[in-house]
Amino acid sequence: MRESDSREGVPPALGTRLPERRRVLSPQVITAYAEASGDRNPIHLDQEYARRAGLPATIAHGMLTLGVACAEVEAWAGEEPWVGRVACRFSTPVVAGETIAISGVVVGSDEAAATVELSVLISPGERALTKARVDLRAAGAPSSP
Amino acid sequence: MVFHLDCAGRRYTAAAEILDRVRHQAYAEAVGASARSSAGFTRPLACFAAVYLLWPIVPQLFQDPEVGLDVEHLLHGEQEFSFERPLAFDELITPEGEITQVDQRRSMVFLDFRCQGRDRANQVVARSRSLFVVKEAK
Repeated sequence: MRESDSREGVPPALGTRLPERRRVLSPQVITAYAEASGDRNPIHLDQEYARRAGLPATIAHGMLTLGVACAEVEAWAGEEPWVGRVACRFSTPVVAGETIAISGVVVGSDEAAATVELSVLISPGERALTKARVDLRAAGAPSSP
Repeated sequence: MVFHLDCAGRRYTAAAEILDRVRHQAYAEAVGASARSSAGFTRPLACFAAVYLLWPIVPQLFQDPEVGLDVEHLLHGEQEFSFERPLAFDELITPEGEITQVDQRRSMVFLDFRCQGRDRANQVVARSRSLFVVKEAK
């Protein structure tokens, strides 16, 4: 399989790999996301509230984890193509301060579209997201069939 | 608050949101995207949809007494966004949402919530599907 081969203007080829990126979801990052998104659920911001909910500490928004992962795909794919669909299941909460490792592989591709299957790990074998996929569309291509 | 199993079909709307660059920049910095994009973004990041599609609507669902969600025990189970076309900065998007399915199994509630965003021409340009799960439902 080729490594990090995102071609200009068209979706990446089958088997192309998104190189692993790591990102710390610190309390500062979580607070910044809460402010930017408008999701101020105290489970993400208030230690006491999070502990009452049975968590060891505050947790990152699932949408922050997905947003970080999807942005990695978009940065890798370049200005074109565009994202037609993004989906995931939130499997394990990411506790504030933990690091996520994002990688991916193109599991389907043609001239108009590609599907990137993402791996988002908290530690080896511990997945923050499962069934995480980003569908890329070539410029001018229609939306999902 | 008591959960109402018959809440499927309830709809919500919110004021139109402009996809403005200032809010997007704050979002991009939070998800770590801005450092790689010194030249700026030509269009909004895909998951910026959380800002203009979900969060104008979802708090209404969470606070709706006719639904009665136990928010302290609520988990965001799944999320999907899809787009009819690439969106652009300065577009005006009007969000709307609907509870499309409710299930209760083994004292857990599974609530399927769908949102869509319409552009100035009233065309649906973005959709979302969220699965919310409430553990130990009251």
